Amino acid sequence: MMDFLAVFAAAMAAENLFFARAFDSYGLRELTREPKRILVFGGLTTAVLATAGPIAYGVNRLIAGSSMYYYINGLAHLLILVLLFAAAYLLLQKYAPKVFDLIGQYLPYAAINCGTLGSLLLVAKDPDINTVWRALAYHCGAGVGFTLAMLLLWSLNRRLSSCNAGKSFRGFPLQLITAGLIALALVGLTGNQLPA
Amino acid sequence: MKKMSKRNYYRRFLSVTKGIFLKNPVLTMGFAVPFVVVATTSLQTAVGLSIGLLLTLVPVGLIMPLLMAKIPQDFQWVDYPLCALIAAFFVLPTRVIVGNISPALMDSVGVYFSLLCVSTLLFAARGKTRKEPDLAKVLLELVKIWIGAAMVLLLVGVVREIFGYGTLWGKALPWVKLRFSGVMVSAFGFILLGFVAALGKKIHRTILAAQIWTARNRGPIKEKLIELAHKMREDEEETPEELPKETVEETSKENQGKEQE
Amino acid sequence: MIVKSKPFPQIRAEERSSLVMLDTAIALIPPFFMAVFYYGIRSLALGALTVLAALVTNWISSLFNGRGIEWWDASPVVTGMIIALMMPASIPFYIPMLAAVFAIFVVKFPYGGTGNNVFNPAAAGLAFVTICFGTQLSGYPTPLEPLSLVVDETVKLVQGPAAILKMGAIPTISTEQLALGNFAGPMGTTNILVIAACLVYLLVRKNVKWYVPAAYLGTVCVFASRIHHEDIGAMESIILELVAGSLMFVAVYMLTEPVTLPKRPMAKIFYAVTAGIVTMLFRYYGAVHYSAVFALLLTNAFSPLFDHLVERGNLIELMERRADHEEDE
Repeated sequence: MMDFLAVFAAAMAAENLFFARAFDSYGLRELTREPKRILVFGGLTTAVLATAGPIAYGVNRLIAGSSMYYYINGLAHLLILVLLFAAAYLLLQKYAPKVFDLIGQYLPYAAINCGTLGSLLLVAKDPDINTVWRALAYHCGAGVGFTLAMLLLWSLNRRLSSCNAGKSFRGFPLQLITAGLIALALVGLTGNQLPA
Repeated sequence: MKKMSKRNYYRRFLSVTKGIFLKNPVLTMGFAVPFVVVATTSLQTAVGLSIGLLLTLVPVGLIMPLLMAKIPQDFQWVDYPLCALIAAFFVLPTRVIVGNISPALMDSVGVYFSLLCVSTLLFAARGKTRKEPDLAKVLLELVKIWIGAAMVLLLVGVVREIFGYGTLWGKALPWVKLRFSGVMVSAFGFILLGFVAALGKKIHRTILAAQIWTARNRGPIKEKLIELAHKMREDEEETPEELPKETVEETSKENQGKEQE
Repeated sequence: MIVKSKPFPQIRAEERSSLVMLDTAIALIPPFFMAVFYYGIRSLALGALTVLAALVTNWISSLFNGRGIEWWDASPVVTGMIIALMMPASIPFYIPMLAAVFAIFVVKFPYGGTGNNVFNPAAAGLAFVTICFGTQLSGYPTPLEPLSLVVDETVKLVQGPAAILKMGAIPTISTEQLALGNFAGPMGTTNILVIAACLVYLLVRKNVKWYVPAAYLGTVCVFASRIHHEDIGAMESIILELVAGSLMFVAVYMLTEPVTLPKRPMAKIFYAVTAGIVTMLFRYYGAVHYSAVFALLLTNAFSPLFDHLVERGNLIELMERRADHEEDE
């Protein structure tokens, strides 16, 4: 349990998908307008990661030994996400139309984006994450960390708009600089550049 | 033949360079940010990622309109994952090409190279070129988007390499005395990108201002300037979708009206 | 119906008036005296150059802000002094100057200058410089050995007590050394009694609310008393944690900066407690030695959130009271 929590916390804070690795920048412009969008998108991303994580772990173990691993790694993980997205899309459309109306527009972006694919690839590459349990913890932590990061940026939006910033800095540039400074604070946890 | 007035020159410049200065995909739309912020730590990685972006963007942008025309309406949602899969196929040869630039390049870029197939830039390009039947126009749009992104990548790469390692393309620069390893962290990438975005906005605003000042009809210039300034202020807070296109068209309509008078 | 009229947090009040700045600058002078006493005239040179770098950067960036050069703006002086006091006395001159330039140019200028910054500039400058030159910032000279202006390799550098605590050992500092600040550490942060006296000055001048540093230090004490080395007691652990590193300095000068602090009293207390929790987390799990500074930078990001939550809490209370009143009528 402590192991799970440790990996979860590390993935959430120290290796935050958004601040430390700059995945999912789509969130910066689009999601940080309303908290509802953030919660839906973040929840979907976490669900996708939690489902795809163990599957990807298994597939990775299967293909790890092959000589073409370096080349088919990315494609294999993407295929997992695509199939998961297709299954989720079709099932929701057929069996839960009300839920589909709510989240259908976010499902493509939430399922297949830099964050989800990147998280799967990082876990495949990381030698420390060697059990399914740890992989699941990492992915859940990553998804939750991303949601919290977006919520934090949303809460700062109002403060940013009340700044007397110069016209060139208003809007997106200021959001980027703010994200950078929060990421600077989080470097205190890792102390160094994270391995890509 | 009438000589193009300065105002028209600026208007043409903006519409021709749309995607480079006007709606730069990285600086205004926020696409391809992961690559710029984290992965671009030197000129070599910037060039490698630019080539990677080009070789995924162009095939996807050209193939997708052709494919989507064949797919029935009910299955249109397939376009998003299909985009990613096609890009993933093209990433495979790109990996070989880019790996030849420098041996350490793929190591320092790491996971981000595989992420080229899901970059938001791809999906933006798909959105722009989805209903466009003319392939030549599609190609031009894609190349413009790519130039915009590549410019930012190269700028960030050069700055980070000079300040971080004191080298350029791996060759040491003797006049650089100080090295800041903090420049390689993602935090500094965000900050640098924020400043470049502000610079881009400033360049855009300067061009707009030059456009207004060279308005041919100098009659009631004060009212027109105030009106345009109000529009610029409103448009700034909106999404870039609504930006100068209307301003440009309205000024041209006004001027046409005044010319007829 | 009782309506308490409070200003909304979005309405920006003129908080960074020059008098508040002057008080903070005055309160930063005693640590400089102590630094000169322990380390010689080099401390003063460091301070002067850092302040100069901050001022020049502020003047240049205020040009870009379109409001003309603000010559009378004294807040860069405070930023420069804080950065200088957090450095080891043997640091090369360019490092605190770089921190000051980063602080003003990246953390103050984009947001619109003085009174608009979301993050504490000194904290961000120190964070950047820690990442860039971490090893040079972790070695401190021994006090009472005056340093020349040019520091060479003959100066012996030791680790501060914060690093020793992080490694799991117990720093050996006698009570007399503790009281006088006679141990290795950043230039201005080892003299706990002097900093406490400056806190009293700021409290008397009403620039600082007492509950902010109290909540912060209280949280740190609670953590320190529960989690400590087996060989030392709770009280000793509390004293060591308060003394080690830059905690007291951050609590007095950086945590209480009015621009980044939330506006409501309850929100300020939440903010201080959160800062304390995050500081201790950074101390236990973090990889850098300026735990309090990084923790403060992170908590700055939560400051509007606390205001928002407390405001909503107040509004809900207000609406409930209004509903009750209408029922009674």
